[in-house]
Parts: sequence; structure tokens; C-alpha cells
Amino acid sequence: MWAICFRECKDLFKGFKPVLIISILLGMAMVSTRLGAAFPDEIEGVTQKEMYTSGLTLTITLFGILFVFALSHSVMNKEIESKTIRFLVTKTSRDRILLGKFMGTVLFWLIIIGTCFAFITLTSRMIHLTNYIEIMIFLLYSISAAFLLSNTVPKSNQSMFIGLILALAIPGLSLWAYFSERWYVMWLKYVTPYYYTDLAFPLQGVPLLFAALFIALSLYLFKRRDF
Amino acid sequence: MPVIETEKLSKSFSRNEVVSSISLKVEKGEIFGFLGRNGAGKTTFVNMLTGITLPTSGRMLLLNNNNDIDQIKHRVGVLPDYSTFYDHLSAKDHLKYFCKVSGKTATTSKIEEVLRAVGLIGHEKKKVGKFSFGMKKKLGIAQALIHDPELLFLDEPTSGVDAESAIHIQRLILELQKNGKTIFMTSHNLDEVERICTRIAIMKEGHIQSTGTMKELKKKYQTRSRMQVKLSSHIRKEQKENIKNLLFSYSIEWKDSMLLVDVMAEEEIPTIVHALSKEGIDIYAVHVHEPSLQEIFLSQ
Repeated sequence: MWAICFRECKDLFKGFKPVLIISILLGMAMVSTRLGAAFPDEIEGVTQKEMYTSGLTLTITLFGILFVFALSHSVMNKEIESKTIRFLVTKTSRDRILLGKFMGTVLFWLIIIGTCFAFITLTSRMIHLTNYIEIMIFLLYSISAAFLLSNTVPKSNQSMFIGLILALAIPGLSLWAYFSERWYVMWLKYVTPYYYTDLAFPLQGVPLLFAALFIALSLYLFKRRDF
Repeated sequence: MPVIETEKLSKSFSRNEVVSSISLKVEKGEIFGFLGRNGAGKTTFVNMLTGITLPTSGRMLLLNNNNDIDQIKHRVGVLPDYSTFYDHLSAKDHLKYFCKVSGKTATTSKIEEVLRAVGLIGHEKKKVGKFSFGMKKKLGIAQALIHDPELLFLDEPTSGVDAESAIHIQRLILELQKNGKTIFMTSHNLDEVERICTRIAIMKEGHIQSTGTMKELKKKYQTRSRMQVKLSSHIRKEQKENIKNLLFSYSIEWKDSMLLVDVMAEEEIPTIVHALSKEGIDIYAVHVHEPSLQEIFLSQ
């Protein structure tokens, strides 16, 4: 499982897309720190500490799902399409393949977000652990959703298309659901991670339950499949 | 004790039953050849045994581990029928990675040993994207061997490789058998199967038609043998007429001085030879043509 995990993580660092995403996130982290430094006092309920991480948080909130889907929409179906999965399934269990890939993707994001926060911490001389955990909860939800997508949609070009639409639609729909009074829209906010970010601990962790559900569903589908 | 045992193993895709209730046993140390025409269900059967495809029904037991293939995957090596590699990785990286996935660690010397065995030494650092089909096939065999498995499944190990490499692979398979490994292989190359396999199963339309050693299959499907008797080149026309009368109950043919007689049983051969000698006909040579695996296969 660890071999698959580290291979997945290493592979995610290759290519143009991760470089672009890392640049955007680090760029936003730098903007945040400047913002924090420029406003040493609290403004409109936003503490200086929050200001340091606001750029990064906003970027992840708006584009986090897009970033994750762009990198991981084909995490499983590409291996199945190319038949490289046959080598893996003959060597280890299907649980270990999926969980290894999942952990590799999580590790990639832990490193990326960790690097951004390390930069912010060094500049602000403040520890932003809560923010880091909040962003990682959001990303764990997104990663699990990407795994479910990749296990449900058989072709990687289809999962890219659907993933792109979902990544753009989910933030918009969640925002609409958040402010809507209509019952047929309202429920949407409970299944996306945005609503829970405003809530206190432990409700902030609810997206993790969704993540577990998505991974369990992915495992169920993956274990029933012929290659 | 069998290392592979299946009981009524079946696989259906939608309503189409591709493998139908196959019960089979393969003993330790065998090279078991699995034959069949395209679409007979060979690959599906192998894929079920190796965890690539899930059976619809039935039971299978590999290395005495009941139904849970995951527990013994590190003891099994598989060359799937069709597979691609990660183009950006080298042959060495592939072997390292696959060995780790199996839960073992491959040393540099082990990697070199396996690459040498399959004839890929010198290409270990080359990106697999630049490999030819034959080289990929060899790498496929290498990845099946890298974790030193007890049981090997090779789906058409020599298809698509040049004649020299095919012989090299056949020798390697025999060498692996000598080292105590059990090999289950499918092939379209009937000569290869006839030459190296200790037992053979012939599959047709999802069923196993026959199983046995080459000798057993020949015995089973041998309806007649052709006896070729070389006589003197000066044999006269009246002598030929005499022979025809003498062997009136047999179907005979002449090819110059060569007498061709179809016999139903081996026991008839000395009787014919004796009868010809008694007539004063000089016999220069006798050859009995037995059906090849190809002939048996085509008769299915």
C-alpha cells in the first residue's frame, strides 16, 4: 500500500498542472501574508491572524474542488483504461490499491498546503493550525469525491468533463443553497463542505463523514469490477 | 497436493457464459498448457484465477488458500494477456515498484538477475515508452518473476516475440520448472505447448474438452495412425498387386516405393510387417506417423 501511496504522490508532482496549482496557492499565501502585514489591526470582524490565511482559504474555498478534480479525476479510471491496473491487482488487494492511491493524493495535498502554511507561519510568526486542519478537511472531501467520480465514470476524458462541471457547479450551488429558503435547494448545502466550515467543532468535521462515505462507495465499486 | 484447484468455476458477462463450470487440478511442479481457439474463454479463466476478473460462481483454491486470493498474491506471478506499462518509468523502476507492491524489496542484483533471465539486461535504465512490443512482453515476464513466486500464470508468453526470444522464453520456463515452480500457461503456439508442457487442457466454448499429458491426449484422439513402409525401389507391379490383396482389409496408398497403410491400433503394425516379410518383400524402413497436438487440437 505504501509503495502505491508514494508512487501516486510522486506522480502528482509531475507535469504542468501541479506546478500551476502550487504557484497559485503559494502566490495566494504570499498575498495573504502581505494583507496580514498591511492590516495589523482587526477589520470588520476579521482578525489579523485570519487575514494572513484569508487568501489561501478563499482560493481553496472557491477553487479547491477544481484543483483536486483537475489532478485526480482520472486517478483510478486511467489505470483501468491503460490496463496497468492488471499488474497491481495481481500483486496486492484491491483495498490496498485504492487506499494507497487515496493516501498518496492526501499526502500530496498535505505537502502542498503544509508548504503554503509553513511560508505563512514563517512570515506571520503565528501558528495557523486550525486553518490548516479546516482546509485539509475541505480537501479530503474533494479528494474522496474525485475518487468516487473516477470509479464511477469509466473513461478519463469523461471524468475530466464531468469533474470540471461539478467543480464549477458545486461552489455556486452551495452558495445558492446556503442563502435559499426553498426546500428543494436547501438540502444541497448539507451535502457540500461549505456549510460546515462556519460551524463550531465537532460539526466542522462532518465533511469527513462524507469523505468516508465516498471512499467506502469507491471501494465497493472497485472491488466488484472486472479488469 | 494441487496448487491450483477449481470447482465448477464459471464466468458470465451479462447473459453470455464465457467460462462454464470448469473443474481443474494442477499439481506442484507442472507446466500446464491451456489451449483453445480465440474466444474459447482461456484468458477469462486465467483472469479469474489471478484476481483480474471475478468469478460468477464456483470455487477456486490456489496454493491451498481457499477463495481468498489476496492472501497469496505475493506467492503468485502473473503475466496478463494484454497490459501496458507506465511509459515514464524505466524497466528497473517498474521492477522495483511492482516488487514493493507485492510486499517485497528487490535488490539491484535481483533486478539484474531477472532482467538477464528474460534477455533485457542493458535496457534497465531505458524508459519503457521506448520499448518494442517484444521487449514489453519480456518485461511482463520479468515483473511476474521479480518477487520470486511459487506459481506463475503466463498468458501467451511468446506471442509477438521473435523466434530467438521465444526459444529463450521457453528455456526460461523449463528452467523455472526445474527450480520447483509451477507454471500455468496459455499459448497459440501448439509446437511450444507440445514441447514444454507436462499436461495440457483444451478449451472450447467455455468448456474443457480434454485434459491430460500429450501421450494421453494422443491416445484419446488417435483414431488411426499412418504406417509408412519403405520398400525396394525396384518393386514390381505384380508385387504391388499381391500386397493389395494381402492387405485387403486396410486402406493403402502408394507413393512410389513407399507403402502407406492406415492402422487403427498399434498391435496391427507387427502383423503387417510379418505378412509382408512372409511374402518375401524386403522392408527397408517403417515409420508410424502419430497425430500432433495440432491435429488433435484441430479435431476438437
